[in-house]
Amino acid sequence: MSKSYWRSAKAKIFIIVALLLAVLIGAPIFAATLQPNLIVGFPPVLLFFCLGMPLALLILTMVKSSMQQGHDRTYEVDTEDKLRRRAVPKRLKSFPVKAEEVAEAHWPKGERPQDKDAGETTT
Amino acid sequence: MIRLKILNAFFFGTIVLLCILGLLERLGLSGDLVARMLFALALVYTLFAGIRARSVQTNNMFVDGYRMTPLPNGLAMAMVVTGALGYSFWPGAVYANQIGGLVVPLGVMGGLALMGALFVPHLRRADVLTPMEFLQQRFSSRILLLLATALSAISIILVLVGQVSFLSGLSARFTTAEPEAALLVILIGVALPLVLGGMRAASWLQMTMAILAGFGFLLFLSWMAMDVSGFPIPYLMASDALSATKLLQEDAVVRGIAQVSDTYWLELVPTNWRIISLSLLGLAVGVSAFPPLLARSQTARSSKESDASIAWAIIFLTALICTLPIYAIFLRLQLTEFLTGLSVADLSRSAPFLFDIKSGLSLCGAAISDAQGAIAACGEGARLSATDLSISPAAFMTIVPDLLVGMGREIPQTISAMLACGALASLIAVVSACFISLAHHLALDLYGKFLGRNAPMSRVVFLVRVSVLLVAVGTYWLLTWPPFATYLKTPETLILAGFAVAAGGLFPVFVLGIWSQRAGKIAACVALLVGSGTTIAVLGALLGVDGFAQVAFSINTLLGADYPIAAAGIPGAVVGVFIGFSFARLAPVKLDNQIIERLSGA
Repeated sequence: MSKSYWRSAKAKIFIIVALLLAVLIGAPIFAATLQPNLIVGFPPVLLFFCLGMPLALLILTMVKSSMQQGHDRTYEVDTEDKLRRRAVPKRLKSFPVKAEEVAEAHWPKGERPQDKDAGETTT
Repeated sequence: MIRLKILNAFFFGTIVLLCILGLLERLGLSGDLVARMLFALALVYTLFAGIRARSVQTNNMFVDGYRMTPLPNGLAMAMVVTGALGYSFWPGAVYANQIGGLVVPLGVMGGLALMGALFVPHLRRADVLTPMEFLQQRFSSRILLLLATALSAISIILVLVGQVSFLSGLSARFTTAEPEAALLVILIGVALPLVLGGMRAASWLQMTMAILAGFGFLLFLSWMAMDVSGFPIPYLMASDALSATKLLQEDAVVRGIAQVSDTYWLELVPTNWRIISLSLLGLAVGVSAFPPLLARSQTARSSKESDASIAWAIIFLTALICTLPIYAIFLRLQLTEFLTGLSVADLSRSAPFLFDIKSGLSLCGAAISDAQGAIAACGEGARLSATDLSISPAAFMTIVPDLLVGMGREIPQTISAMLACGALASLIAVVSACFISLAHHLALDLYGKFLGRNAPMSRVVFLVRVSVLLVAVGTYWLLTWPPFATYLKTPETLILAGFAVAAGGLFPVFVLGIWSQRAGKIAACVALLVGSGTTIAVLGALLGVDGFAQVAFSINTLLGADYPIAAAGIPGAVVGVFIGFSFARLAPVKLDNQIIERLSGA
C-alpha cells in the first residue's frame, strides 16, 4: 500500500505546491496588470494583496486538506488517525491513556531506558 | 471544548475589564494607574497560563498532550508567526512602503500554506515529540540530529533576538524602567509558566496573549476611526478616509505643496515584481520549516485537525493583513490634514511635538533634531506635505499615539495603554514559542537523544524545566552583553535571516524525510550541509560580513545587486533539495524503520 499511496500523494501534492508557488511568484506580476479604477473606494492592487492573495492561499490550503482526506479514504487510511479516538499516539505507544509511559518507544532499538516516567499529576 | 470556554471567558472578561477601566478613567482615575493595571493584566494572564497548565506529564511538556483543537491552535500559530514584528512593524511598513509593506505578512502566510501542504499532516502522523526527533527516527542518524538541532537553534535565536529587540523602544516609550530591567521582567515572566507546564503553558500563553494583542490592535484603530469619521468600525470608514486623503493631496498639488505622485498613495503597483516574488518565495520556504511552528502544529489532536489549524491561522492572518492598510490610511489622513501647508520655519510653534518625539521620525529625508535642522533639511520657507514626514516602521506603534496627541487628539489612556499592552502580549507569545523550542532542543534532542540515550523520560522532563531557565538567562546575557550589540542588525533583518537559515538548512531535510522513501542519512546530511552552507554564504554576503566579498560578487553577477535578504534561503533550499534527491536517486537506501509507514497513516 505504502508505495502506491506515496506515488499518488506525490502527484497530488506536486500540483498543490505548484499552485502555491504560482500564487507566490505570480501575484506581483498579476498585480501589475490590474486597472487603476477604484473598487468600492479601494485601489484594486490593495484589494488584491489584502484579500485576493490571502484567499487564494486559504482556498489552496483547504483544497489540499480535502484532497488529503480523500486520498486517505481511497487508501483506507483512517482520516481521524485512530489516535484521536484512542487519545494516544499510535506507533510510539509512549503515552497510553492510563499514563503508564512505555519509555522505550522513544529510543532506538536495544537502548532501553532504565527508569519510568515521572507520572501524571496534571490539572 | 473546555479551552474554548475558557478562551471565551477571557475574551468577554477582558472586554468587561476594559469597560471598567475606561469608566474609572472618566471618573478621574489617573492614566498612569490605568496603564500600570493593564500591564499587570498581561502578567496576570501569564501567571494564569502557568498555573492552569502546570504538569509533569511528558506529552504535556512536549506536545500539549495532543489536545489542541483547530481554532485555538490556529490562533496560537498566527500569534507565533506574527509576534512583535507583526504588531509593531507591519503597520508601519505599510505606511512607509505602501503595497511593498505587505510582502512580509503575505510571505509568512504563504509559508503556513506551504507547511500545511508539505509537512504538517504527515509529521503529525509520525507521533514524534519534536520535529528534530522525527529527523532522528526517520534517518537513524545522530549526526544529522546534532546538525539539524544546531541549525534550528541558530534560526530560533535569530528570530528571538530580533523580536526582543522591539522591546527597547516599547519600554522607553511606555515605562520609566531601564530597558535591561524590563527585559529581565519579561523573560522571567515568560519562563516561569513554561517551567511549570512546558508546551501546554506555551499554548495557554499564546492563546491568551493573542486575545490581548487583538484587543490592543483593534481598540486603538476603532478609536482612530471614531475620531475621524464618528463611526467606530474602521473597515467601513476606510474607503471614505482614503478618498478624503486623496482630495486633500490633490488640493495640495494644486497649491504647489505636494507632488502629483503623492495623490496615488496606496494605489501604485510595485514595479520591482522580481524582488517581491523572490521575497515572498524565500519567506514562505523559511516559515514552512521554522521549528517552533512545526512544533505548534504537532499539538493538534489528529493530522486532519493539524490541517485545520493551518487554515485557521491563515484566516487570522488574513484579518490582520486587511487591518494593516487601514491603520496606515487613518494615520495618513490625520497627518495630511495637519501637516499640509505648514511652514517649516514655523514648526517649533505649530508642531513642537515633532521635536519632542525625535526618535523614529525624519523630515525631508533627514532625522529630526531641532527647528534649525528641519529648516536645513527642507529649505527656508518650504511648506510641508504629509510625504515629507517619514516614520520608521520599527517605531511606528510607539510613535503614533504621541503624534495624535501632539496634533490635539485626546486619546483615552486606557486605549493608548492597551496598544502598548498588546505589543507586550505579542512579544510574550513569540518568546514563549522560541523558549520552549530551544528547551526541547537542549533537553530531548541534545541530551535525551544525542548524549544520554539511556536517560529516563522523567529526567528529560526535568531537564526541559531547567533548560527553559537556562535559555531565559542565556537570552538576557546575550542581549545585555556589550560586544553582542556591535553584531546586531535591525530587528527585521535578524528575523528574516532566521527564516533564511530555516529555509536553506532545514527545509531540504524535512522534504527528503517526508517525500523521499529512498533517501538515507548520507543524503540528508549532505543536503543539510550544502543547503545551510549556501545560505550562510549568501547571508554573509548580503549582510556585508567580512570574508564574503567573493560570494557577494557572485550574487551580484548571478542574482542581481538588489537581491533581497528575505530570499537569502532560496539558493540553499534549491541546492539542498536537488542534491538530496540526487543522492537518493543514485544511492537509494532501504530503511528498516517503520516511520515511512507511519507517515502515510498505515
